[in-house]
Amino acid sequence: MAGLAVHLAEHRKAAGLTQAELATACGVSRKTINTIENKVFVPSTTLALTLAHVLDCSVHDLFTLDEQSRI
Amino acid sequence: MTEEGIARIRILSLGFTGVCCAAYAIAVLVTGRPDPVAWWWPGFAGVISLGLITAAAVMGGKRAAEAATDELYRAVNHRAERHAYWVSMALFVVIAILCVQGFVPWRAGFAALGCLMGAAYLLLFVWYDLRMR
Repeated sequence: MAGLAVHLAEHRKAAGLTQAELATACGVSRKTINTIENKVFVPSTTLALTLAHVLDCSVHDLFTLDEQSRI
Repeated sequence: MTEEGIARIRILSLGFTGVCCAAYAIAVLVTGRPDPVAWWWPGFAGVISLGLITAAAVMGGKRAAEAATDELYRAVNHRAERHAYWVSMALFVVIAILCVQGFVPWRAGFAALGCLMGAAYLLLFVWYDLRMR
C-alpha cells in the first residue's frame, strides 16, 4: 500500500459522520472503514465510488498517489 | 444484532471449530488411532458453528448480514483460503513422511490430515480477521 495516500478520515469528519455512520451509509462494516482509513485495506473501485458518492466528493479527493509513486 | 456482533460470533465459532479440529488431529497423531475421542466431535463443532453464525445473521437482518460479509470479509476469506491451500500441501508431505516412517498408522494419518486441513483454514481465517481489528 506504499504510495497511496488516504484522505477518507478528513472528509468523513468534515461531513460530520462517524465511522459507523459512514459504514451504514455505504453498506459495509465499521471495520472496513477503519481499515481503509488506516491504510490496511485498499477498497474496490465500487466501494471507493460509493464512499465518494456518500461524502459528496470525488474519488480523487479521497485517494491520491504519493509524489514518488507518480510516473 | 449488529454486523460487529455477527463478526464476533463468526470469529468465536470458527475459532472454536478450528481448535476442535486441531486438538482432534493432535490426539490422533499422539494415540495413533483414527478415533481417539468420539469421531463425530469435529463435525459436530462445525454444525454448532453453522447454527450460531446462521442464527446471528438471521437476528441481525439482511443489512447487518451483508455488512458482515462485505468486501473486507471476502478479502480476508480469500487470503485464508490461499494460504490454507499451501499449508495443506505441506501437511500432505509431513503426514506422508510420518506414515512412511512408521510413526503414525496410515488410517490415523488420513484422519489427522482431514482435520488439520480444516483447522488450517479456520484458524488462518480467525487470525487474519483478528489482525484486521
